[in-house]
Amino acid sequence: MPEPFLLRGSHAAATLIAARMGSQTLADTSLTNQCARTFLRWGLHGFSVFEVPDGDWQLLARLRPIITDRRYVLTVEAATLLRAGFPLLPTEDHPHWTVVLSEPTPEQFARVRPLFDGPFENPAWTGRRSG
Amino acid sequence: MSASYDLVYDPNDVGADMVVECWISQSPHARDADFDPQPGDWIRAGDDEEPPLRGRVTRRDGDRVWIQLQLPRATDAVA
Repeated sequence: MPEPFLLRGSHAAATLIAARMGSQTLADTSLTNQCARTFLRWGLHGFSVFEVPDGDWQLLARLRPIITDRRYVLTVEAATLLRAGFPLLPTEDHPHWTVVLSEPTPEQFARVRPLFDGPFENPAWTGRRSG
Repeated sequence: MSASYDLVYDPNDVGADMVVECWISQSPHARDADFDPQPGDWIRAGDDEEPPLRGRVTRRDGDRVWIQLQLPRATDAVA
C-alpha cells in the first residue's frame, strides 16, 4: 500500500535549477530502479532531483552532504521539464523534488534524458579518490 | 554488478540524515539467500560511479533495507 506524501508549499520557479547526481543516473537501469522504488512508496513513477538554491552549490552541500561525494552532476531548468510535459513535485523536504513520468519505459526515459545538461564536474565535490 | 559492495544505492535518494533506502533485489546479493542484513549491521553501499561507502543498517523490511551512510573523513582523502 503506497504511503501518502505531502507536497511542500513550493512552486517550481521557471528559473529553478535542478541537479541529479551521477553521470549514469539517467540510464535506463537507474531510472527503472528508482521508478520502481517511487511507485512502491508513493504510487507514482518518478525520480529524484535537487534544487540548487539560488544557484548556491555549497548551500546544497550543507542541505544534502552526499553531494560532496559525487564528482559528476547533471542539471536541468525546471521550465525545460515543465514545457516538455514532466511535472516537478516538491516532495519530502527542501531541496528535494520529484520528476514525474507517465510510465517507466525506455521511451519515456529517452524523452526526459536529453533535457538534462552534463555530466559536468560538481562544484561541491570534495575530491575523494578511490580507496 | 561489482562485488565490492553489498547494496546499490542511488545518491539522489539519500536524505539530509544520510539515510537511503536500498532494495536487495536491485543489488549484487539479489540471488544470495544468505545475505540477511539486520539493523545495526555495517555494510558497503555503492553505485559503480564512486568508491563504495560504509553504512549502518537502520531498518529492514523484506527486500527493503535502510542504511545510514558514512561519508569519509577529509583526512581519508588521497591527493
